[in-house]
Amino acid sequence: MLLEIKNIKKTFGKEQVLKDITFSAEGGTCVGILGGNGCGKSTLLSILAGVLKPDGGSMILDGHDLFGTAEWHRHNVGYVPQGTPLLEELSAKDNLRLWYSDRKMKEELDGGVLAMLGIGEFLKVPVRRMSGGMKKRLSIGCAMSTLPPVLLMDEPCAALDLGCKGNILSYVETYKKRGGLVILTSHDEMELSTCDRWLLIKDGFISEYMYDGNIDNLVKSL
Amino acid sequence: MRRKKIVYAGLQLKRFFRLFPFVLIMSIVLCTAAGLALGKMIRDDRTSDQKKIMRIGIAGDTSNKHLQYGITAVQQTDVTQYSVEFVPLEEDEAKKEFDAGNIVSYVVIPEGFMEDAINGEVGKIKYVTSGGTVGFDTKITSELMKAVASLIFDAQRALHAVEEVAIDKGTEDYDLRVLAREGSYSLIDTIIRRSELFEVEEVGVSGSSSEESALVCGILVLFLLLWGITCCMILSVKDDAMSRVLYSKGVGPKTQVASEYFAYFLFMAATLVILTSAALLILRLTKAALPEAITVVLRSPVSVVFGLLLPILAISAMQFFLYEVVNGVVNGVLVQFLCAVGLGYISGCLYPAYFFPEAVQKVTSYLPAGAARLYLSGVVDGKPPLSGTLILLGYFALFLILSAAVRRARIKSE
Repeated sequence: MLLEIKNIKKTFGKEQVLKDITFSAEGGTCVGILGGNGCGKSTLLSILAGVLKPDGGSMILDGHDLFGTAEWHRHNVGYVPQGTPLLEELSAKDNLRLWYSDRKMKEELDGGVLAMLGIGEFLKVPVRRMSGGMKKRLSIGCAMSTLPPVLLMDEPCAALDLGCKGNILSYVETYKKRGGLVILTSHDEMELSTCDRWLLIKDGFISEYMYDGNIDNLVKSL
Repeated sequence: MRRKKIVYAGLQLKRFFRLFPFVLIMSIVLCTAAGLALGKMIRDDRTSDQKKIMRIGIAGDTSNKHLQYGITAVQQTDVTQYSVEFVPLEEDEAKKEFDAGNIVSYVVIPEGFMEDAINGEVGKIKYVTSGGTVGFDTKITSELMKAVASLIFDAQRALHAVEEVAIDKGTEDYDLRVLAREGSYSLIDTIIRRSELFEVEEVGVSGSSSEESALVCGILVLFLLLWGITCCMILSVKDDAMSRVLYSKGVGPKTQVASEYFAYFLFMAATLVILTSAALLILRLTKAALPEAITVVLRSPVSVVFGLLLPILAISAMQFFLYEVVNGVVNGVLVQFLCAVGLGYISGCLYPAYFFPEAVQKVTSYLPAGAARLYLSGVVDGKPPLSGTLILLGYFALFLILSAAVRRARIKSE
C-alpha cells in the first residue's frame, strides 16, 4: 500500500499555512509530523482527514485520488483528532453503535480491533466516568470501524500518563505490523520513538527530519 | 450513511432523556415557583385595598353640566376595582399624552353629545387605547356601566324620597308631588328605557383575550424561555472533535444540527406537554376558586397544550442557536438566563405590554418571545394569528440555518 501526498496548499485569510506539502508513505510504517505551534500540523491532518478542503493538491492511495471520491476516502482513512470525539453522557457501547452495526461490534469485541484495544472492559461505562486512556482507546476504536489502511492521529498521547501512553502506542505497533499506515502529529518523546520516519513542517514547507532521540536538537530545528 | 444519521439522531435523543430526572426536579421547582408567583399576583390584584389609578384623557364637548356631574361621579365612585382619573384635555393634547404613555387611553366626546342623548339619539364616543392593552377596554366599559347603573338607581331613589317626604309632611302642594312623579317618568323615558345611551368607537384596540389570560400566556412563554437552561449540561459543553470526525465521515453540519435540534425539540416538547397537561389536569380536578386567568386557559386545555408546540419549536431553536454560539456551562446558563429575562421583560411576559411605549410594543411583537406570547393568547381565544404562526416558523428556520452556519465555521476553524 502506498499513500502519496502531492502539492497540498492551504491559506487562511492572507496567511498561507501550507505552501507545497509533498511526501509519500508505505503501509506498515508510522510517520511523525513535527513542527512548532501553529506551523500547520493539525491543519495538514484535518486536510488529510477530509475536514478541511485544500486549496490545491491530491491524496492518492494505491492510485485512487481520495479527495475526488468521498466514499472511498471515508472508508480508507480513520481519524482521531485532538479532544474527545465521543458523546460524554453515553456508554462506550452507545458510542460504538454510531460506527458499528450490532453484528460487527460483536465480532470486533470477540477478537478484532475492539478486543485489541481492550474496550470490552469498560463497554457499559459512561464516557464522562472514563479515564483519559480509556477515552483515547475508545476514540481509536470508533475510528477503526471500517478497518481503514490509513490512520491519522493528532497528538494521540497528549495529557496521558505513561501506562496509558504504553497501551496506545502498543496498539499503533500492532496496527503497523498488520500493514496499516499511521500518520501522527506529536511533541512527545515516546510517540516520536514509535515512528519510523519524521517529517518537519517549517514556514509552510515539509522536509525529512532525522530524529536522533535528542529533543534539544529537535527544538533547535523548529 | 443513512444508518449513521438515524443512529446519531437516536443517540442524541438518548442523551437528552438521560437528563429527565434532573429536568423533572427542576420543573417541579420552576412550576411551583411560577404557580405561587402567579397565584399571589392574581390574589393581590383582586384583594388589594390599594386601587390602581388609571388616568384617562377626556376630550371633546364636556361643556354640558350633567355630563360634568357624571364625570365627577364616576371619578368619585367606589364600585370599581380601579380608581379612574379623568384628565380634561384637547384631542391633540390627549393624543400626545397617550403617545408619551402618561394616560392609558382617551375618550373623545362629540359635539352636542348630551343634547343628542336627551333627544333620543345615540351618540358615538371615540375611545382610543393601544393594541397592547388587551381586555382593558372591556374592563373599563364594564366598570363605567356599573357606575352609571348605580347613579341611575340612586337618582330614582332620590326622586321617590322627595315624593315620600312631601306626603309625610302632609303637604297639599300638588305641584311638588306631580313634579317628582314627572321627574321619575322623564328619567325612565330618557335614560332607563333605552338600552343604549351611546356607542363606543374603538380605535387601535386589538386582541380580545383578557389581561389576566395574556398574563398567563406571558408566564408560559417566560417559562419556555427559562426552560432552555435545563439542557445546559448537554448543549453548552462542546468538543468540536466529535463534529469534525462526523464531518470527515460524511455527516455534515446541517445533518448534525438537524439531528441534535430534533432531539432537543422532542425532549422539550415531551416534557413541557406532559408537565403542562399534568398541571392543567390538577387545576381542573381541584376546581378550587381558580382565578379567571386559569379558567380561561382551562376552557380549552387540549388546544393550549398543542398550541405550545409552535412556540416551543421557535424558542427551542433560538436556545439551540445560543448554545451553539457559546461554550461552557457558566456561559451557557448566563446567556440563556439573560436572554430569557431580557426578552421576557420587553415582550410583556413579566409586566403587561402596555407598560412600554407603543414603538417598543410593535417591535417586540416581532421578537420570538413577543410573537410566542401573542400567538398563545390567540390560541387561548381560539384564533391563533396567522402572522404569529409565520413569524414563529420564520424564527425556527432562521435559527437552525444560523446554527448550521456556526457549526460549519467551528468545524472548519483553524
